[in-house]
Amino acid sequence: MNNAGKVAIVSGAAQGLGRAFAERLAEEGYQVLAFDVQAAVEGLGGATGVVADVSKRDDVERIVALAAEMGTIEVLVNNAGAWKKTPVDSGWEQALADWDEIMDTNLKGVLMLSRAVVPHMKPAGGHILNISTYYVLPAKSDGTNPPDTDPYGASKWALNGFTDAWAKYLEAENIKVNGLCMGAVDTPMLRGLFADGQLPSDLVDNVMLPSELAQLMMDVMASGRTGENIGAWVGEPVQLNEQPPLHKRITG
Amino acid sequence: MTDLKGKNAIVTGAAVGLGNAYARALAQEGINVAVCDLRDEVHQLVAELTDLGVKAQGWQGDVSDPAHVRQVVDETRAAFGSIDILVNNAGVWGASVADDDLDKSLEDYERIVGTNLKGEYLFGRAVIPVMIEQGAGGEIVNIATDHMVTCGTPYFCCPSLESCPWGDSPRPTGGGDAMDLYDAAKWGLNGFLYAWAKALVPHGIRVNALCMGATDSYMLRSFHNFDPSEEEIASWMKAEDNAQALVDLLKEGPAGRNAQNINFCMGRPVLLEPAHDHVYVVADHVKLGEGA
Repeated sequence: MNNAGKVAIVSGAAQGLGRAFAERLAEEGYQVLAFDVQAAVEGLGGATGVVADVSKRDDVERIVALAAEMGTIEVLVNNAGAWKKTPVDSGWEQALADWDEIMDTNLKGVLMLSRAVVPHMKPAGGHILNISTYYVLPAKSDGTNPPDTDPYGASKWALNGFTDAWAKYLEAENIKVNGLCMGAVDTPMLRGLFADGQLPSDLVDNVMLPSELAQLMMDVMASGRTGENIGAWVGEPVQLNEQPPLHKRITG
Repeated sequence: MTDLKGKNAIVTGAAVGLGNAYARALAQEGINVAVCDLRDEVHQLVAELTDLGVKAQGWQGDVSDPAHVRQVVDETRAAFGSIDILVNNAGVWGASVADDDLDKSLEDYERIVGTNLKGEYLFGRAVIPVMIEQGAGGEIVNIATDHMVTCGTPYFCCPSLESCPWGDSPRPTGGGDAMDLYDAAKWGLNGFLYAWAKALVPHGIRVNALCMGATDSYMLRSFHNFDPSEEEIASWMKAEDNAQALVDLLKEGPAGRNAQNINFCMGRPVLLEPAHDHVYVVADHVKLGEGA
């Protein structure tokens, strides 16, 4: 497919999944605008890396204006995400701070970036991918929806509302909207959860790879499917499975 | 079955509609009720609840404002001595679509997500430490929408029920294309439902949600410019029936269901049906212990 002149925006692209998404889109010929709060995004090969914060309106508008100058925006990957443990008894002031820290990026950031991009995408169609989590799909393991991640879980469950409503509203514009809902992927974020960055033995052999998720992203876009949560689980092949019936497309 | 008489509850968004019906139903069970709302009718409700023979307190304010939430929770505890039940009901609706401009979208976000998601988070996070400290269990009920459940969660249907309009083809989730923020906020409640239920099992505190379809309420009448047809009204569920289902849920007590989205969608009898199998969590992780 000739993607010359087409622009892809990837948020949270300095490392891990976002970096893999950005690099893969660049390999596919897209002009990639990759941004992140971390300066490492500036060294991304094959992409235009910009330091910007998806939770800040001015940054979002600056990014989308820059992308529009690069060509026709066809792909938006809403990948930037904040995660932290938020025990329910952490105290009032902590609860307030955690809410802002997580929601401003994971929900308000996705809203602002998508709202800013959609007018640019409408004339020629495109793809919006909301990066979510396997928490929002039927449980296949003990670790799903853990007890100490209430704002994070809320932010990702909330993306279901965006994916569903946007897919319907933008269908006539040929803009496809899907969620990618994955379990553990070998990223710095995951390794940061373990001592010395070493994955535990039950994960080390079957953790998913960012490159596998990048392939899944390409497969979703090529499929023409819309309004779905696409799942990827540790211990299962990372692949685009058969399209479920309508009533299971978001709920799994 | 748990005796509810003498327990103490908070009901948010209680001035009109479902919240009003919930507050009255709890008072009729002998529960002392603290209520809050943006609307000043909340003060009239306090007088009516008191007439039912229970203690009542009321505050006018915005559930997305942390200072308001703190005031309601702290003063309820001071007035009643404990907080046993939280009904996280306050909610607003507004149309929002994928190509709204940023100014409107950010206003919508503050109002819709602020009320429907952040408001429930704030009340939960304010009440949970109180319930834990009391050491006597508790009940948290979040009010959500049938947009986030299908015929049961997530996809069983009940063809045996002749009146069910979805008997032949399971109902997809979602509220349409003009409710992206409303649906996002309500879907987000699952993050609280499952995390809180798991975290609070050791404390004997249950967390469930009522997922409401079209119910005769201020909010629904506002969709119809406050001039719905008789046919429309007849098709809607009645807030009083749903309030009875809330009471029945609370009466289950610690032996009852936990971490469940309970679906009330149009065309079905409005009553508390048996608990369903867990889908999004492992059942053992949300099972309250013996004697909890």
